[in-house]
Amino acid sequence: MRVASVHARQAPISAPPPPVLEVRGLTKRYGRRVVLRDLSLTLEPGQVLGLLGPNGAGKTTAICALLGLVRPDAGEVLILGNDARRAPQAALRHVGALVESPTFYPYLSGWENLAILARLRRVPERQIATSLDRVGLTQAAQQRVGTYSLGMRQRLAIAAAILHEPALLILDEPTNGLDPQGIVEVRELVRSLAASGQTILLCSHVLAEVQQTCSHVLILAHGEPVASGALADLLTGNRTFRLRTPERARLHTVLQQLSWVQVLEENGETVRLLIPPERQEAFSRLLVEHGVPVLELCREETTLEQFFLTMTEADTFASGEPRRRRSIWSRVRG
Amino acid sequence: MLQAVAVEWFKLRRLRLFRVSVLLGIALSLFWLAFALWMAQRGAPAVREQFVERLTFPGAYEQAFLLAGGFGETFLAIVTATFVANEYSWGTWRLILPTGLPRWQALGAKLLALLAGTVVFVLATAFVPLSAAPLLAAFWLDRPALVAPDMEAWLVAVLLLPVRTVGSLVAPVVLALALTVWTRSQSVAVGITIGLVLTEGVLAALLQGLGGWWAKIPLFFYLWNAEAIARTPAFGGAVPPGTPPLGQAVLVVLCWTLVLAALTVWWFQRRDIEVRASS
Repeated sequence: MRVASVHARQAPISAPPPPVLEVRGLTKRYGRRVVLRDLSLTLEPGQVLGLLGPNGAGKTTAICALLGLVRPDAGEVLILGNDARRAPQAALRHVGALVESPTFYPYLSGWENLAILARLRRVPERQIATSLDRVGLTQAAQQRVGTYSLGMRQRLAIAAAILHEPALLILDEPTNGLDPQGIVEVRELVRSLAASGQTILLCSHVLAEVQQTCSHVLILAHGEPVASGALADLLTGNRTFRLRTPERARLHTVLQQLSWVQVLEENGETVRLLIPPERQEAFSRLLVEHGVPVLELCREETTLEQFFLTMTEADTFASGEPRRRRSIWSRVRG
Repeated sequence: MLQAVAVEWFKLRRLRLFRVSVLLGIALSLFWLAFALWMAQRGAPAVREQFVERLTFPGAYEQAFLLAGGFGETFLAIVTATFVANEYSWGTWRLILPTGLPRWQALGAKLLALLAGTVVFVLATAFVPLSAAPLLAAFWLDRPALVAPDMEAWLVAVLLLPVRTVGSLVAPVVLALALTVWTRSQSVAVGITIGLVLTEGVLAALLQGLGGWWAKIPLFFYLWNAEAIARTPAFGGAVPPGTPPLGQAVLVVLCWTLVLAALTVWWFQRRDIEVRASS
């Protein structure tokens, strides 16, 4: 009896909850062309990940592979610990998605289209009204979708994605085709969802929007992740400095001794330098020690747009062939 | 699966093309009735007698389902190809499959809904000549409205004939579905299915005319055997020459149906669903 009571009192050591989304080594080929190579990421509850990349980078293929629309050649997708390939029903019931342009049955009304999804997802019909209300489509609910504008379809697609209150929301270009007012409304909706703790994978070309909404980003180029991590880390981990000095010759003497400083650009009195974050203080000290007069030394603030262009352009033009993955940013974790 | 079937049935019955097809089936039956009545009253005596037989029971019953089967071959092939091809052209597979519905269930539910649609089409098309037959017999043809048949002998035939008609239409439906999934093209599926509906009979007659081994080839034709299921006389009478026996036709149609359905599901499971912009 005593043993039993001891066992009963011991709280079971609960395993940590599985990540909302875990992707390991996802690869997709079309013939010889590799459109997605070895994509791995982990998305924890409450994270908002911006999936970025130029056209043809493999974003939509990645999303389609997550949703079971495209069969990956290799890799694994786990949604709340459920294998999306072996147990699609268990895995995908936690996911709501809007993939590229919204698709609906044009001869059915907005309400009927959502009723179809509600039935397949076993969601009570009252949720339809809530979703439609959330995207501002209550008035048009009984109209045929064929008569909807692109903006209305986009809203309906968002309503369809949030209908069953999924653990993971995948939004691929949610503001496509919307008028400025619609864009603001959708952005507000995504932000409010993110603020309420909803895990979101957001794919957008509007980088300002991503910068305002996302906590993490993953940048794809040529089907490969070229950078990923917490947005704050990526943008504040800037190593680019602008230095203005009238004594260029003296500065060059100092720089020749420092193998860890890289000169990016020289323009008159101004020099742009790449300095590792941990050596920034040492660099300032060395300038003083060597008597280099400094008119200005400041870190260049990088926007997500600049960062994105740097990563993707370098990847495209640097060596003629795609750059290999940067291992330090290989996982997105909070 | 039941939810998926209910959803597909909802989509099918709201599809305008399906409603138009049912109405067209009814309209063509009415047209046939008018033509048959005219022939029964004004045709040559031998012809007149043939049409009177078709307009009165039990011939009217058989004729009603023959009409439904004949029209159904074409109309249901078109409805099937459209119903499946729409999912590709509208991109709505992207709406349905991410719900986690297994692909074989998505396709199976579509097939079951189409078979329910086939039952509705057959009953609606056959209803017009069936309901008109007693009235025509009594008022225009001077025949008894209802004959007093040997019910025990007829009962099986009466029950079996609708089942046979629907069963015969499974073939064009499954063929059109398979072709649409393989080609993702409505026009290719409709063209091939209707082409086979029209040519298999002619080809079978030609091969049977050649005799020997040639004559055995049509025994494996899918749609020709399916037609034989519907055309075998229900209330006795001569079997049209060259028609395969009912049991054999059922077996051939069943085998083809299973093979085509299995191949289609296998193919559908393997294919990527393309993402393309919708209009």
